[in-house]
Amino acid sequence: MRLLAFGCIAIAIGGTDPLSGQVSEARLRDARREPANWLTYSGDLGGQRYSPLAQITAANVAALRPAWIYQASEAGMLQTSPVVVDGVMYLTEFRGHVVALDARTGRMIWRYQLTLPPKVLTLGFGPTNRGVAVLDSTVYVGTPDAHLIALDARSGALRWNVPVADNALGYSITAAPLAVGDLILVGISGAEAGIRGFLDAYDARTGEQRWRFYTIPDVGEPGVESWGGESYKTGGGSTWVTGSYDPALGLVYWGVGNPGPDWNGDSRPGDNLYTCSLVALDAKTGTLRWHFQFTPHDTHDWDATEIPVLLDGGIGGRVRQLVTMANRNGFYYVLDRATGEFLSGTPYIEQGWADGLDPSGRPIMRPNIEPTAQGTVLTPNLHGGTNWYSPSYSPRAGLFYVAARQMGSTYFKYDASYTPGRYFMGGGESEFGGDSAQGAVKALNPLTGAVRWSFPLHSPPWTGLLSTGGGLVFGGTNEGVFFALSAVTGSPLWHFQMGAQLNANPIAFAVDGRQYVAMAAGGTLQVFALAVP
Amino acid sequence: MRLSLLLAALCLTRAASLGAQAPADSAPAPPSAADLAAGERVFETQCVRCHGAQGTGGVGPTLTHAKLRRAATDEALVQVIQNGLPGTAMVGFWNLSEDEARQVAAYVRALGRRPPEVIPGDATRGRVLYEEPGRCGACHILDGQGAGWAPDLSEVGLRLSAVGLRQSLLTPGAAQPVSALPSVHGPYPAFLAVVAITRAGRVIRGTRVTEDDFVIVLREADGRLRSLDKSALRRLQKNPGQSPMPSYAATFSSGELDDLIAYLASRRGEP
Repeated sequence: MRLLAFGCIAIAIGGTDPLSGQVSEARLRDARREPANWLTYSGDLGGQRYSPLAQITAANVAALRPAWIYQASEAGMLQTSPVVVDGVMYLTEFRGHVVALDARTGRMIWRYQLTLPPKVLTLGFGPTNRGVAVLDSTVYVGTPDAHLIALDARSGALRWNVPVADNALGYSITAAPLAVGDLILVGISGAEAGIRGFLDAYDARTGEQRWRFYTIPDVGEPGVESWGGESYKTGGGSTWVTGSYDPALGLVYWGVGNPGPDWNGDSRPGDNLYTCSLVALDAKTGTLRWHFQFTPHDTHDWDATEIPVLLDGGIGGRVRQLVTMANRNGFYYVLDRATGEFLSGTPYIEQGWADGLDPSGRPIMRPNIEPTAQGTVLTPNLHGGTNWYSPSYSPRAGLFYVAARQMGSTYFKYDASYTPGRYFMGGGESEFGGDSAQGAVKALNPLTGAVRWSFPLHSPPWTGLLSTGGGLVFGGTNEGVFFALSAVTGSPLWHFQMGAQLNANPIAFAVDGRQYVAMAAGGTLQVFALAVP
Repeated sequence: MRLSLLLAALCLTRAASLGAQAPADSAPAPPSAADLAAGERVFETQCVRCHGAQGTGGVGPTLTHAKLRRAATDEALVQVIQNGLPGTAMVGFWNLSEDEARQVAAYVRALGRRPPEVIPGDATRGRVLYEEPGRCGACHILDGQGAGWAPDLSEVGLRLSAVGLRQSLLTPGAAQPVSALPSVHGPYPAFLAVVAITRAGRVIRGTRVTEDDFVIVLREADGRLRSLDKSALRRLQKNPGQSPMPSYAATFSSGELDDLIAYLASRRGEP
């Protein structure tokens, strides 16, 4: 078995561009060539969240210290994953306010305060925001009231502001947009309110909509037969976590969330396409090329809105272009990213709902797993084996890392009737918390899902992972600890109490030859570096 | 099946009436029997785990009071249900629709209108027992007096019913109070008994004060805090179901227990 790095080129810290601050499409495609920068939500278009930076290593990480701390102007937990371009860091605060900081010192360069209406619907998630996209000299952010906004990267001045969808119906944006070619792609939240989900593409220069892919087919389109009656109209299928992009294939990969109503599937008999699926879309037109549904007819809120990670590897004697996903339903999937062919799926947690997958990748569901009025006990709970926070793939270590959640729950089913702009869920759960629930950072063989090592966590985590060229994996805990593990063995090598729950993704960058690691906790962004001698 | 549950089942196809008919700027209609039945249904599935059957208390406080201290108004109660109470084990139930939150709030209010629990003991005699030197005040604080090793009992009558108080006195290990800390994934037992053995072989017994993946802080029997790096431990044994509080089954007569329970039930934060 052989592993190939996806676009991995090992180079030293550096990467000063002659057009400093101008993020061309070419720079985004070759983000790995300039590891000093963190140019997209996941650090590269393939969703790997891997930094080739190698100044901080297993041998010296014990000397990692805070370099600077940014405190958000407004209260609220930061879930942001910053973008760093040529010494400038762009991050989002709670509610989607955007800040540009001097990445070396944390000094503020500008701050864009969103103007929001007095009442904004954020049904099921709160007015959180997970970051920006940068293309050329423009910064893009989605807003809680479902607008897409473009800001001048140097000044923070508004370039344009377009409505994406009607917030009064529950549509909202929490995900970081993704720059694809000359388009800005943005996903939508709101599947707890009976929306009809979509993925949108806008002209980066003008804000004009270029295409929309509805994640729930309309009458006359293939897939609508997987819904009963008119249930497709309120079918959910949000796209609330940033996807990935393969420029060579011209395909965008995006995860689709749960069907609506969440826990009561009576009104929507069938598989409910394309909910709980990965869709591969033509990047230029938004046309569906293929789809793979992880959880047909989901009734446990197991969104497939995890990061699609693109990597190449040898399977069955030949090199395959792969897209992999550690899915919320507890299985790790390996698919051919050109065709969508299912190659393997393996549980990475102890789960209780499926006796494995059939040769096509469809789950062999156990009986009596549906939520009921009396309650149905099942693992995982609605938050799944993992969630929106990012996994990481290290081409150097050849391992896929996932922050796994091991937690059960009692699922309940209630009635559901649709009222525009209201919750439309039909149930709930009572999770098994406290000492009965745990988490773990797990290192998987990326081609098979076999667990190589596992580092246990006190409680099911809400923090993503970063792997680095220094042989480290960074992660965090609900109890406020930011830590570094050996990427090879999982041994803990460093930890720091940040003073609030971690609920975001780490990144790495460099300025003036010094490597930094950044992580949000509570209302702060904290940046670490080796102590200067 | 109780009648109210049957009612709820009959109402399954009926549109929820509370929020839908009551715009925010007008006085809400009083809850209907169907609303109360629907609220009970939600309560039984989502709330009983902490608040006990019919709100009689458990790891969470009793709800059988006309006035709820942290939810003075109906609107405030809905807010608590939807958003939780920061710093406590009460999480926000975002999965409930607005109608369901209002219905369960109406049901909780109805619990507070039920006749109060009959407590047979004499609170004055119970107070004398409580205040015996070396007794409860050696570990608990009540109205500012006593020692802070164990839970503050100044408002214990709001938290626990007489049944819960009796269980705490007789089988304290089975009636552990909980703490929202150290993480969002509570509730955790507030006084988990732990035995830690260091690499040097030293045995440290105590109750857990806080814990993360790298650190555990214990309070030893003499009150001393031990902040320990887990990497320095050979073994970490957790013993759920044990309590530092002894059982008082053999200490007090049945009448004395009634008196003590009557006194504790009267402690509601009002001197």
